[in-house]
Amino acid sequence: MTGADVHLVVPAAPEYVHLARLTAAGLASRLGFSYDDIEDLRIAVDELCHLLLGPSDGDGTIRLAYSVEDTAMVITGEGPGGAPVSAGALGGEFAELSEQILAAVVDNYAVTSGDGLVRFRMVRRPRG
Amino acid sequence: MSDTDPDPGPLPEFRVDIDRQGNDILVAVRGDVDVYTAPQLRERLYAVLTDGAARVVLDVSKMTFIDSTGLGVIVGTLKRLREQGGDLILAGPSRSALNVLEITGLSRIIEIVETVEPAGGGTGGPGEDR
Repeated sequence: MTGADVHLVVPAAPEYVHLARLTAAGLASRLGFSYDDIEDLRIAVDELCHLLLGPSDGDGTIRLAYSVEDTAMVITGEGPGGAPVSAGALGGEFAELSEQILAAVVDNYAVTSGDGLVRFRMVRRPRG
Repeated sequence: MSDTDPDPGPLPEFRVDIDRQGNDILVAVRGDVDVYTAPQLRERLYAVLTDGAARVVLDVSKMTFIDSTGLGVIVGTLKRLREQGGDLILAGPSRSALNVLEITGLSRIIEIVETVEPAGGGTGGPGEDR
């Protein structure tokens, strides 16, 4: 796997987020990531995809790219954003949970917005 | 008495089964709890709360994934239960689920046990027999 090897394009709707997890897990497994690393990757890409989801009445698209840089898996994504990820949302407490999870499971990540899109980039190296 | 969800949900593997044992409610979750399925779980749990459940045992031994939306549902349920004098017990979380609970500090505020004892009532955990 070299460069941006795998691209995933799905509707920016909640029912498709599991495909992002599935893809991350499948690729990480092929790369020899441990079980715990794979579980971390799954939840990381899941949490970041929340930010890309579009409004329920929209028809936006989430685009994800999975690649390997050195030994790290790098995942980038972009989507319309703006969805009220309201399942169990408790205002600030909900966002705090997501941030706590991301801080623990990835080496680094960044979220930006512009041109009507929300984008993220995350890096995760094997921890064994 | 068992109340099984006739519609397994959008993902074939997601399912919520509810069983009543006296004043306790056993809620068994199967599959991924994420941004898409968490609302369904919330709907089922909150319906149980309106029935005045004192203790809810959430069997997550067959839950294959949980993210912040799922955790939010659990926290919301816990708060509502405690407000009405009840409690929530989490039974059988996987290593991954336990990891997420520990990362977020929820493992310190939610009672977690290893197993759900069948029929005989109570829950099983290390050194515990309720």
